[in-house]
Formats: sequence, structure tokens, C-alpha cells
Amino acid sequence: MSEPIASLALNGVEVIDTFAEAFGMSAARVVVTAESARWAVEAARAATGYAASVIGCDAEAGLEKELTPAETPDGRPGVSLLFFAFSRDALQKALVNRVAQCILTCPTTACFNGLPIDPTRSIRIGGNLRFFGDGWQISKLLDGKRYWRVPVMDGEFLCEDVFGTAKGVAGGNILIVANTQASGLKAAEDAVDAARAVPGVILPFPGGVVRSGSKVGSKYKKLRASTNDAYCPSLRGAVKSELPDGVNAVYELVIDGLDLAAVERATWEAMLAATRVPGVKRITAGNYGGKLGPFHIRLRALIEGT
Amino acid sequence: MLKLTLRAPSSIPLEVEGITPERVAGLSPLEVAKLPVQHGNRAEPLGEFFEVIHDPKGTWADLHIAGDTSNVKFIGARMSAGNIYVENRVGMHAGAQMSGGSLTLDSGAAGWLGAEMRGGSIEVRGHAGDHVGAAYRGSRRGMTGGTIVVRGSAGDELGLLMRRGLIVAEGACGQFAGASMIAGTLALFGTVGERCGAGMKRGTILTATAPQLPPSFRFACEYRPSFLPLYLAHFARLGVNLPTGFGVGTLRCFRGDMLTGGKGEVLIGGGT
Repeated sequence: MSEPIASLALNGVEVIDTFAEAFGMSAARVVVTAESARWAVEAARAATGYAASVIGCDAEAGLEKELTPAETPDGRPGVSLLFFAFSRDALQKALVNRVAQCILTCPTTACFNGLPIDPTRSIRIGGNLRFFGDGWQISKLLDGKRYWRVPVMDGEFLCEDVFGTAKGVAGGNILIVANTQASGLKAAEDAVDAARAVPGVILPFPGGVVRSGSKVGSKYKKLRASTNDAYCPSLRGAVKSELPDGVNAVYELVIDGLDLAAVERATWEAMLAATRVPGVKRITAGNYGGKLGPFHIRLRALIEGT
Repeated sequence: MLKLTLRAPSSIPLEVEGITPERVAGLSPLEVAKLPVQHGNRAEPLGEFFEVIHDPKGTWADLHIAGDTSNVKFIGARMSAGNIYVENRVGMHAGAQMSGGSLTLDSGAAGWLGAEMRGGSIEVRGHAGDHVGAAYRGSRRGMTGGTIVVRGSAGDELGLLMRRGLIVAEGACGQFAGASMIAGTLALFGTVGERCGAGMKRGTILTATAPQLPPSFRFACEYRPSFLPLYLAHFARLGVNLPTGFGVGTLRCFRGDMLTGGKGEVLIGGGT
């Protein structure tokens, strides 16, 4: 963690002049539709479950937006989901598994690509899932897009053959440092709502909030990440703490986006919302001294609008 | 835009295979007039039969063909790009084996329209003859890509041995539509002749009215396929006039032809 320099303020709250360190990931947007919004959301919940961090999951995923029938390819209610993984191969593997287990199985759903397709950077989803049809699958080619129709017990599952990918940006973050757990949580909730309103981003952790911020490494050799002791209020006095007096809770928001601009915008909206909540003492961000990722989201630049 | 106007109809068929937008691109009217066409059993210059003019204010098409073309065969055959517009009814084999571009026939077409077509699009704003998108005798595959829309009726053996692509007939069609179909989609919105889908291996036949299917078809279920809204949107983009009520609610699904594996489907969508 770089040495914080307190010289900024937003809504009267101290903002540390530091940066969030983000890194590139392969991203895909999956549009899931169903007969009702309820089943589209059910599919979304299942498909984006256990996808908080690539430290321990095959992908980072989340619900980007609920879609009206007018916004979906088949005129039904739907959801837009974003998935991030370290490589296109990893992304394809994660998506094939997740669509197979969580969307194909969900009543009435269909699955569509939500990004432009560059044939050199696309991943095959429906083309891998079609084998579930055991020879009864049907391919349809419409306007240059191939779809697979797989017979299932409530009719058919429709899935687009290939999905586009983008060079996404993952790991954008802010830390909300508050005087109480209640005020910190309220600030985090408001910040999540504000960040999620930005198109092209997800906050992959539960409810968009992380309470277990991590540092790289551990005293245990096999552990790649461990608790960020400098931000644990209960360890103040026992370790070199980053927390000022009067702080008793810290929440982190992690933001993944389809591009850097979306992550920056979401970070700004989150900061703005969080600093409006009484009890928030400080806003800062996590980084690894610039060694981890090429994208540095500087809080000063966001405040100064540069 | 080049405009080719047939000077006078002939009882002897005129075959214009090879007179395509990509072939005439960059040529002067005089050079185009020297291109060979087949008149009966003789090759003759195109200019013997057509007046060729360069018309910069003409239609959007690269080639505009006018005059009584009902005995002119192979218009747009083997074309791969560009646009052809024909004012009047055309003879056999229009758009046969074409692989790209668009062919717009403002009146009607005789048989073998788009036979063994591989890509591109054909629109007939009238009636079409037999064997639309079909395989030639002895061939193993008919149409393998592209789209044919017939605004009027079509004859027998529409989509015979079709392998891929989409054929839409807004009007009635004759016997053996989709016979021996291998894959692809037929959308038949008028009345459908007997033995529809006979021998089909795979593929989809969408109909508005219940066709008289061969006895080797079996009723499967009533349901609403997830892909139907995509096709309805596609039909809207193609400007297809759907029968009132078609695609509303569920479709009746029949599987067949059981004599050839039963992987084909006939979906009856209702509508009037």
C-alpha cells in the first residue's frame, strides 16, 4: 500500500490522494431473457453466483442491468450480465459451465451475446452447449448470427453460437472508512446503487460490498492473499494501522467494467454517494504501488474532473 | 447504373448467364453490349438484343433490366455481389447458384428461381414457378444459403433438397414443398400443397395453415419456440406480410419425416 497523503476533500470528507490499481481482464456481456422478469433474475442470480473474485472463482460476474422487453432480442424481459476472467479461454470455460448449469437449466430462458463480435476475439458458448441436445439440436442462421435451439422439457433453450469479448478493466475500488459499522454500511449501499447506475460496470461482491479487503500474501506460504490488517479496526494498536482514530468499520467496493472510462465513472459516482452519508471519515483506494495493474484510477483526478 | 432494355421478345430463349453486376462493373455501355449471351444454340453479343445505356439517375440497382424478359433465362445467375432490378417477369433459372448480392424481380419468375443458391437475397414481387431454391436433377443439395422472398405464390417442389437458408412464400405453394429438405427454413404463409416436407431429414417448415402432411409425420406438442420472436423480427425486416394472427400464442409442432430420422419439424402458427 502506498503512503497516503491527505490533501483532498469531497462533500467535506477527507479523500486520500492515492489511486485504485486495476488490471485488464477479458469480458463478456450475456443477455438472458425469460417469460417473466422473475425467471430472468433467477437465472442471473444463479449464473453470477460464486463469482466475487478471480482469486478464488473462475470468473467475476454480476448483473449489469435489468432489461425491458423492448431492449432484448426476443422481446421478453431480460437481464444483462457481465463476466470477467483472466483470459478468453478462461472466460469461455467459465461461461460454458455457468450457462450450462444456471441458465440452460432455468425455466423459459434464452441466452444472447451482448457485445460486438470480432471473430478473432470471440468465444463459443452455444456452439459448445448444443451437444446437450444429443443430436436433436437445431441451428438457425439469422443476419449472420448463428443460434442453437436445444430441446428441453419446457420447450427449447435458445443460445447464440458465439459471443464477443472486450478488454475489460477489473479491480477498480474504493475504501469507505467510517466511524461506525452502520454508517459505513449505509454509505456502501448508497455508493453501490450509484455505481451500478453506470452502464458497463458490475460490482461482483455480495451486494457490491466487500468487508474482507485483502493484502497480497500471508504468513502462511500457500496463501496468496490474506486479511488487510492495516484496515482492520480490531487490530489497531497491534499492527501498523492505516485507520485514524474514531474509525470502527471499513467497507470496500470493487468495480469491474467493460472499459476504463466506465470504471472511472462508477468510482466517481460511488465516492460522491458515499461522502454524502454522515459518519464517513475518509475515502481511499487500494493499490499495490503500481506493480499489479496498468490502470491507475487516481482519486484526485476524479475529483478535479481531469 | 446500367439499364438494359430488351428490344423485342423472342420465342427463342435468351440466356444471359454471366451478365452480373461484378462482370459489368467499370465497363462502358459499348463494352457491355459486346458481352456474349446465348440465343438458342448460338452465342451472340448482348447488344443484338438489349439497348444498353448508362443512366446515372436510374434506380438504386447496379443493373436495371427492362422489356419483356419472360423468355430471358439465368438473369442474375451465379452473381456474387451488387444489385439487379428487373421490371418484368423473368424466365427460368433467375438467381440460380448466386452467392451474393440482391436480385429484385418486380413482377414474377418462372421455374428454378434461386436454384442451388448459396448466398445473397432474391425478392419476387409476384408469383414464382416450380423448384424455387431447389436442387437440379441429380444434385444432392438445393439452396445452401441466402434468402428468397416470394410475395405471391410459388409452384411445386419449393426448397427441394434445401440445405441452408430461408425461403418465404407469402402466397400459396404447390406440392412437395420442402421435400427431402436437409436443413434450413421454409416459411409458407399461404395454403400449402400436398406432401409438404416429404422425406425431410432436418430443417424447419413454418406454416400459417395446417398442411396435408405425409402420414410419416407425428404430432409432437403445442409450444412457443424461443426462436420464433427472432424470426418474426427478421420477417419484419424483410417486409414480409404475415397473415393476421400468425405467431401469436403457441405453435403446433409436428416431427418428421419419420422415414428419414424424424429430425425435421413443421410448425403451424395459425393466422388468417
